[in-house]
Amino acid sequence: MSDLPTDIYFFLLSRVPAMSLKRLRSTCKRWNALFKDSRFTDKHFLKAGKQSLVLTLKVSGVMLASFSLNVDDLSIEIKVQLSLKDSHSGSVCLLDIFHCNGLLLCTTTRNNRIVVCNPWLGETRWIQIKPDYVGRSTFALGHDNNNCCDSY
Amino acid sequence: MSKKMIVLKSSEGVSFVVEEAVARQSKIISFLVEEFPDRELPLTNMTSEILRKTIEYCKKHVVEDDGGGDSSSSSSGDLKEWDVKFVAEIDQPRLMDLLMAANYLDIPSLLDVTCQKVADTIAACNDEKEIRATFNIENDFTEEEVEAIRMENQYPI
Repeated sequence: MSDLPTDIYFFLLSRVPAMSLKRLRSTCKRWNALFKDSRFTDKHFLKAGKQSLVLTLKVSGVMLASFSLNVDDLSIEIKVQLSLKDSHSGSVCLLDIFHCNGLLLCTTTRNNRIVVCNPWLGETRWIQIKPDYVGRSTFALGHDNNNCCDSY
Repeated sequence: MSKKMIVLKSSEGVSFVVEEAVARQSKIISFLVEEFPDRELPLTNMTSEILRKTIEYCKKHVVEDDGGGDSSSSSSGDLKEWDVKFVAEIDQPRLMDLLMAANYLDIPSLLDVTCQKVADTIAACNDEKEIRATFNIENDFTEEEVEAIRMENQYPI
Protein backbone atom coordinates (compact mmCIF):
# COMPACT_ATOMS: atom_id res chain seq x y z
CA MET A 1 0.00 0.00 0.00
CA SER A 2 2.74 2.45 0.93
CA ASP A 3 4.38 2.20 -2.51
CA LEU A 4 1.34 3.46 -4.43
CA PRO A 5 1.89 6.53 -6.61
CA THR A 6 0.49 9.76 -5.17
CA ASP A 7 -2.23 10.19 -7.81
CA ILE A 8 -3.55 6.70 -7.08
CA TYR A 9 -3.54 7.54 -3.37
CA PHE A 10 -5.67 10.58 -4.07
CA PHE A 11 -7.97 8.59 -6.33
CA LEU A 12 -8.39 5.85 -3.75
CA LEU A 13 -8.64 7.74 -0.45
CA SER A 14 -10.90 10.43 -1.87
CA ARG A 15 -13.59 7.74 -2.02
CA VAL A 16 -13.52 7.07 1.71
CA PRO A 17 -16.68 8.62 3.21
CA ALA A 18 -16.27 11.71 5.39
CA MET A 19 -17.41 9.81 8.47
CA SER A 20 -14.35 7.56 8.30
CA LEU A 21 -11.79 10.27 7.61
CA LYS A 22 -10.64 10.88 11.15
CA ARG A 23 -9.05 7.47 11.51
CA LEU A 24 -7.09 8.00 8.28
CA ARG A 25 -5.18 10.87 9.85
CA SER A 26 -3.71 8.74 12.60
CA THR A 27 -2.86 5.76 10.36
CA CYS A 28 0.52 7.01 9.12
CA LYS A 29 2.37 10.23 8.28
CA ARG A 30 1.69 10.06 4.58
CA TRP A 31 -2.07 9.78 5.11
CA ASN A 32 -2.06 12.52 7.73
CA ALA A 33 -0.26 14.84 5.29
CA LEU A 34 -3.10 14.42 2.78
CA PHE A 35 -5.36 16.59 4.88
CA LYS A 36 -3.00 19.52 4.50
CA ASP A 37 -3.04 19.16 0.71
CA SER A 38 -5.86 21.08 -0.93
CA ARG A 39 -5.60 18.92 -4.06
CA PHE A 40 -6.69 15.97 -1.93
CA THR A 41 -9.38 17.80 0.03
CA ASP A 42 -10.84 19.26 -3.17
CA LYS A 43 -10.91 15.82 -4.76
CA HIS A 44 -12.46 14.27 -1.70
CA PHE A 45 -15.18 16.89 -1.63
CA LEU A 46 -16.14 16.03 -5.21
CA LYS A 47 -15.69 12.25 -5.13
CA ALA A 48 -16.74 10.87 -1.77
CA GLY A 49 -20.28 9.64 -1.29
CA LYS A 50 -22.61 12.18 0.30
CA GLN A 51 -25.05 11.41 3.07
CA SER A 52 -27.86 13.50 4.54
CA LEU A 53 -27.78 13.88 8.30
CA VAL A 54 -30.10 15.49 10.81
CA LEU A 55 -28.49 18.16 12.93
CA THR A 56 -29.79 18.64 16.47
CA LEU A 57 -28.69 21.43 18.76
CA LYS A 58 -28.56 20.64 22.44
CA VAL A 59 -27.46 22.98 25.20
CA SER A 60 -24.40 20.87 25.80
CA GLY A 61 -23.48 20.21 22.20
CA VAL A 62 -24.47 19.04 18.74
CA MET A 63 -25.77 15.70 17.54
CA LEU A 64 -25.57 14.50 13.94
CA ALA A 65 -27.72 11.48 13.16
CA SER A 66 -28.79 9.49 10.13
CA PHE A 67 -32.38 8.34 9.77
CA SER A 68 -33.68 5.31 7.97
CA LEU A 69 -37.32 5.88 7.05
CA ASN A 70 -38.39 2.41 5.94
CA VAL A 71 -41.96 1.67 7.01
CA ASP A 72 -41.00 -1.57 8.75
CA ASP A 73 -37.75 -0.38 10.15
CA LEU A 74 -37.54 3.18 11.37
CA SER A 75 -34.06 3.55 12.75
CA ILE A 76 -31.91 6.39 13.97
CA GLU A 77 -28.17 6.10 14.11
CA ILE A 78 -26.21 8.77 15.90
CA LYS A 79 -23.11 9.45 13.84
CA VAL A 80 -21.52 12.26 15.77
CA GLN A 81 -21.95 13.80 19.18
CA LEU A 82 -19.94 16.92 19.56
CA SER A 83 -19.53 18.76 22.80
CA LEU A 84 -17.34 21.81 22.86
CA LYS A 85 -14.88 22.75 25.51
CA ASP A 86 -13.12 26.03 25.86
CA SER A 87 -9.48 25.52 26.76
CA HIS A 88 -9.77 28.25 29.43
CA SER A 89 -13.07 27.69 31.08
CA GLY A 90 -14.43 24.21 30.48
CA SER A 91 -17.63 23.31 28.65
CA VAL A 92 -19.41 25.82 26.48
CA CYS A 93 -23.17 26.27 25.97
CA LEU A 94 -24.26 26.64 22.36
CA LEU A 95 -26.84 29.16 21.22
CA ASP A 96 -27.23 28.56 17.54
CA ILE A 97 -25.74 26.51 14.76
CA PHE A 98 -25.27 26.92 11.02
CA HIS A 99 -23.96 24.40 8.52
CA CYS A 100 -22.45 24.39 5.05
CA ASN A 101 -20.95 21.41 3.23
CA GLY A 102 -20.44 19.53 6.49
CA LEU A 103 -18.81 22.44 8.34
CA LEU A 104 -20.56 23.81 11.42
CA LEU A 105 -20.58 27.34 12.79
CA CYS A 106 -21.71 27.57 16.41
CA THR A 107 -22.49 30.68 18.38
CA THR A 108 -22.02 30.33 22.11
CA THR A 109 -23.21 31.92 25.30
CA ARG A 110 -19.86 33.64 25.45
CA ASN A 111 -20.77 36.68 23.44
CA ASN A 112 -17.34 37.39 22.20
CA ARG A 113 -16.50 33.98 20.73
CA ILE A 114 -17.88 31.78 17.98
CA VAL A 115 -16.47 28.51 16.73
CA VAL A 116 -16.20 26.71 13.39
CA CYS A 117 -16.03 22.89 13.57
CA ASN A 118 -15.18 20.21 11.08
CA PRO A 119 -16.75 17.27 12.94
CA TRP A 120 -15.36 14.72 10.44
CA LEU A 121 -11.76 15.58 11.21
CA GLY A 122 -12.41 16.61 14.82
CA GLU A 123 -11.04 20.08 14.18
CA THR A 124 -12.29 23.32 15.69
CA ARG A 125 -11.30 26.91 15.22
CA TRP A 126 -12.40 29.61 17.63
CA ILE A 127 -13.04 33.09 16.33
CA GLN A 128 -12.76 36.09 18.57
CA ILE A 129 -15.31 38.80 17.80
CA LYS A 130 -14.22 42.40 18.03
CA PRO A 131 -15.63 43.98 21.21
CA ASP A 132 -17.38 46.67 19.12
CA TYR A 133 -19.59 44.05 17.47
CA VAL A 134 -20.60 42.11 20.59
CA GLY A 135 -24.35 42.09 21.17
CA ARG A 136 -25.34 43.45 17.76
CA SER A 137 -23.99 40.83 15.38
CA THR A 138 -25.62 38.23 13.16
CA PHE A 139 -23.76 35.22 11.83
CA ALA A 140 -23.93 32.98 8.78
CA LEU A 141 -21.77 30.38 7.10
CA GLY A 142 -21.37 30.25 3.33
CA HIS A 143 -18.79 29.79 0.66
CA ASP A 144 -17.39 31.46 -2.40
CA ASN A 145 -18.92 29.72 -5.42
CA ASN A 146 -15.83 30.25 -7.49
CA ASN A 147 -13.60 28.52 -5.02
CA CYS A 148 -15.96 26.44 -2.94
CA CYS A 149 -13.38 24.23 -1.26
CA ASP A 150 -11.16 26.93 0.10
CA SER A 151 -13.08 30.03 1.05
CA TYR A 152 -15.79 29.90 3.67
CA MET B 1 -15.34 -14.35 -39.26
CA SER B 2 -12.39 -15.19 -37.07
CA LYS B 3 -11.51 -12.71 -34.38
CA LYS B 4 -8.03 -11.25 -34.26
CA MET B 5 -6.03 -12.61 -31.37
CA ILE B 6 -2.99 -11.19 -29.60
CA VAL B 7 -0.54 -12.73 -27.14
CA LEU B 8 0.24 -11.23 -23.71
CA LYS B 9 3.12 -12.61 -21.67
CA SER B 10 3.26 -12.48 -17.87
CA SER B 11 6.34 -11.89 -15.70
CA GLU B 12 6.75 -15.67 -15.35
CA GLY B 13 6.83 -16.00 -19.14
CA VAL B 14 3.36 -17.57 -19.42
CA SER B 15 1.59 -16.62 -22.66
CA PHE B 16 -2.11 -15.70 -22.76
CA VAL B 17 -3.89 -15.64 -26.09
CA VAL B 18 -6.60 -12.97 -25.96
CA GLU B 19 -9.05 -11.47 -28.44
CA GLU B 20 -7.74 -8.09 -29.50
CA ALA B 21 -11.06 -6.38 -28.67
CA VAL B 22 -10.82 -7.72 -25.12
CA ALA B 23 -7.23 -6.57 -24.63
CA ARG B 24 -7.86 -3.15 -26.18
CA GLN B 25 -9.80 -2.08 -23.10
CA SER B 26 -6.34 -1.31 -21.82
CA LYS B 27 -5.28 1.97 -23.39
CA ILE B 28 -1.65 0.89 -23.12
CA ILE B 29 -2.21 -2.42 -24.90
CA SER B 30 -4.33 -0.65 -27.50
CA PHE B 31 -1.39 1.67 -28.21
CA LEU B 32 1.13 -1.20 -28.26
CA VAL B 33 -1.01 -3.28 -30.63
CA GLU B 34 -1.03 -0.44 -33.12
CA GLU B 35 2.69 0.26 -32.76
CA PHE B 36 3.79 -3.39 -32.74
CA PRO B 37 1.20 -5.47 -34.62
CA ASP B 38 1.67 -9.26 -34.63
CA ARG B 39 4.14 -9.13 -31.76
CA GLU B 40 3.83 -10.88 -28.40
CA LEU B 41 3.48 -8.19 -25.71
CA PRO B 42 5.58 -8.80 -22.57
CA LEU B 43 4.02 -7.46 -19.33
CA THR B 44 7.06 -7.94 -17.13
CA ASN B 45 5.56 -6.47 -13.95
CA MET B 46 2.39 -8.56 -13.97
CA THR B 47 2.20 -12.06 -12.55
CA SER B 48 0.21 -14.73 -14.39
CA GLU B 49 -2.39 -14.70 -11.63
CA ILE B 50 -3.02 -10.96 -11.88
CA LEU B 51 -2.92 -10.99 -15.68
CA ARG B 52 -5.48 -13.81 -15.66
CA LYS B 53 -7.81 -11.80 -13.40
CA THR B 54 -7.35 -8.68 -15.54
CA ILE B 55 -8.23 -10.62 -18.69
CA GLU B 56 -11.26 -12.14 -16.92
CA TYR B 57 -12.48 -8.61 -16.12
CA CYS B 58 -11.86 -7.35 -19.65
CA LYS B 59 -13.65 -10.35 -21.20
CA LYS B 60 -16.72 -9.58 -19.13
CA HIS B 61 -16.66 -5.91 -20.05
CA VAL B 62 -15.87 -6.13 -23.75
CA VAL B 63 -18.42 -4.47 -26.01
CA GLU B 64 -19.15 -6.92 -28.78
CA ASP B 65 -19.83 -5.81 -32.30
CA ASP B 66 -21.92 -8.61 -33.77
CA GLY B 67 -22.64 -6.83 -37.04
CA GLY B 68 -26.04 -5.61 -35.89
CA GLY B 69 -24.65 -2.64 -34.01
CA ASP B 70 -22.91 -2.36 -30.68
CA SER B 71 -24.29 -4.35 -27.82
CA SER B 72 -22.83 -4.84 -24.42
CA SER B 73 -22.28 -8.47 -23.44
CA SER B 74 -24.35 -7.85 -20.27
CA SER B 75 -26.78 -5.25 -19.02
CA SER B 76 -25.33 -2.48 -16.92
CA GLY B 77 -27.07 -3.66 -13.72
CA ASP B 78 -25.79 -7.21 -14.20
CA LEU B 79 -22.30 -5.87 -14.86
CA LYS B 80 -22.27 -3.85 -11.65
CA GLU B 81 -23.39 -6.90 -9.70
CA TRP B 82 -20.71 -8.97 -11.40
CA ASP B 83 -18.05 -6.34 -10.57
CA VAL B 84 -18.99 -6.36 -6.88
CA LYS B 85 -18.73 -10.16 -6.77
CA PHE B 86 -15.50 -10.08 -8.78
CA VAL B 87 -13.64 -7.83 -6.33
CA ALA B 88 -15.24 -9.43 -3.26
CA GLU B 89 -13.64 -12.76 -4.15
CA ILE B 90 -10.12 -11.34 -4.27
CA ASP B 91 -8.04 -11.13 -1.11
CA GLN B 92 -6.53 -7.82 0.00
CA PRO B 93 -2.92 -8.18 -1.28
CA ARG B 94 -4.09 -9.40 -4.68
CA LEU B 95 -6.68 -6.63 -4.86
CA MET B 96 -3.87 -4.09 -4.46
CA ASP B 97 -1.89 -5.89 -7.22
CA LEU B 98 -4.96 -5.76 -9.46
CA LEU B 99 -5.40 -2.06 -8.70
CA MET B 100 -1.77 -1.44 -9.68
CA ALA B 101 -2.28 -3.50 -12.86
CA ALA B 102 -5.37 -1.43 -13.77
CA ASN B 103 -3.31 1.71 -13.26
CA TYR B 104 -0.32 0.40 -15.25
CA LEU B 105 -2.43 -0.88 -18.15
CA ASP B 106 -4.72 2.17 -18.00
CA ILE B 107 -8.09 0.42 -17.65
CA PRO B 108 -10.19 3.19 -16.00
CA SER B 109 -13.25 1.07 -15.12
CA LEU B 110 -11.13 -1.63 -13.42
CA LEU B 111 -9.21 1.05 -11.52
CA ASP B 112 -12.52 2.52 -10.44
CA VAL B 113 -13.96 -0.72 -9.15
CA THR B 114 -10.78 -1.80 -7.31
CA CYS B 115 -10.31 1.64 -5.71
CA GLN B 116 -13.92 1.66 -4.54
CA LYS B 117 -13.49 -1.79 -2.96
CA VAL B 118 -10.33 -0.66 -1.11
CA ALA B 119 -12.06 2.56 0.04
CA ASP B 120 -15.03 0.51 1.32
CA THR B 121 -12.63 -1.78 3.19
CA ILE B 122 -10.93 1.23 4.81
CA ALA B 123 -14.31 2.68 5.80
CA ALA B 124 -15.30 -0.64 7.39
CA CYS B 125 -12.23 -0.67 9.68
CA ASN B 126 -13.00 0.37 13.25
CA ASP B 127 -9.81 2.28 13.93
CA GLU B 128 -6.36 3.12 12.60
CA LYS B 129 -4.86 -0.07 14.08
CA GLU B 130 -7.22 -2.20 12.02
CA ILE B 131 -6.41 -0.16 8.89
CA ARG B 132 -2.67 -0.66 9.47
CA ALA B 133 -3.10 -4.40 10.03
CA THR B 134 -5.36 -4.85 6.99
CA PHE B 135 -3.10 -2.96 4.58
CA ASN B 136 0.24 -3.78 6.18
CA ILE B 137 1.05 -0.13 6.90
CA GLU B 138 3.82 0.75 9.33
CA ASN B 139 2.98 3.13 12.17
CA ASP B 140 5.66 5.77 11.57
CA PHE B 141 4.43 8.28 14.16
CA THR B 142 6.45 9.08 17.26
CA GLU B 143 4.57 9.29 20.56
CA GLU B 144 4.87 13.09 20.44
CA GLU B 145 3.28 13.19 16.99
CA VAL B 146 0.42 10.95 18.11
CA GLU B 147 -0.13 13.32 21.02
CA ALA B 148 -0.08 16.34 18.66
CA ILE B 149 -2.82 14.80 16.47
CA ARG B 150 -4.77 13.88 19.59
CA MET B 151 -4.56 17.48 20.80
CA GLU B 152 -5.77 18.77 17.43
CA ASN B 153 -8.73 16.41 17.79
CA GLN B 154 -9.46 17.26 21.38
CA TYR B 155 -13.11 17.96 20.63
CA PRO B 156 -13.90 14.39 19.81
CA ILE B 157 -16.52 13.06 17.49
